Amino acid sequence: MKQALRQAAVLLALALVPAAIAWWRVPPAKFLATAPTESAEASDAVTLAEAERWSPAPLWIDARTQAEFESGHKPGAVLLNEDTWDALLPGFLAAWRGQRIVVYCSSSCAASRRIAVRLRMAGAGEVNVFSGGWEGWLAAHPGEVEK
Amino acid sequence: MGSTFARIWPWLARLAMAAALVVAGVLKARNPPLFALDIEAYRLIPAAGAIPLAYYLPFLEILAGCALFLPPLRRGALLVASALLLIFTAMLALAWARGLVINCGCFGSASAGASSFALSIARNMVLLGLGIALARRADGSA
Repeated sequence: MKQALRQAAVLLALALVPAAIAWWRVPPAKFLATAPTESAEASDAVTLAEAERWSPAPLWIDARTQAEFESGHKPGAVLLNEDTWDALLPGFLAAWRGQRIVVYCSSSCAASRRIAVRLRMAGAGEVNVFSGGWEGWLAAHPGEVEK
Repeated sequence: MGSTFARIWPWLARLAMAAALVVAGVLKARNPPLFALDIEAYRLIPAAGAIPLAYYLPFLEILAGCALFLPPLRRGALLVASALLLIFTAMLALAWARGLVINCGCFGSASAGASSFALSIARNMVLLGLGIALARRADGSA
């Protein structure tokens, strides 16, 4: 056992070398460290009023599940979630014309921030998160629901 | 027949463990920032810790997988591989129990769908079983 532990320690130390090289070659993106959780104070958070003032209007991304999306979403929003990212990405690409993007999910979910990070990594430029979520939209625009 | 099996199974077991570890490691090592997201999704480790881990873990997996075939490091590799599998399985079980819908991150984000926890846990248990069998055999012969 002692021998195994010693060998394991060697492996643990050896793995640091390629990890350090990878870190040096592809440093972690800044937004990863600054976007740890879904919070209204995060740098990419946007209020509904702000987003609605933008011109051209942003593309809204609904990061909830397909079932939730189908039972009602913000008019014009495009469904894009992690569960079926590969299948939904073409739909997003077809709708996106290079404008700013705002992602929302439920007010209590963290998916929108993760979708925003993924989109930024994919090169989608300026991606914001509306942390008020679906409930925030409904509160501000009751009845404005697309199915 | 029996003795052939006795000779071959440790080799096959090592190959299965090594293949899983190396493939998983290589896929994750290609995009550590994305893997950091997968780690963070488990809500067990804050992002500040998930990022260094995302750079380190894939290479540890690759090294441990390869070292399973290197006699001077074989037992250590078995220990590391089994410990990794145990930790991963515990994380999966916790995420499952908490009802998270996440991509397990096991093989990188190549398949970005939400994973089946049961399937991932079952796979890990089989590999872990192989690891324990190998370790017991090594202890017996050493």
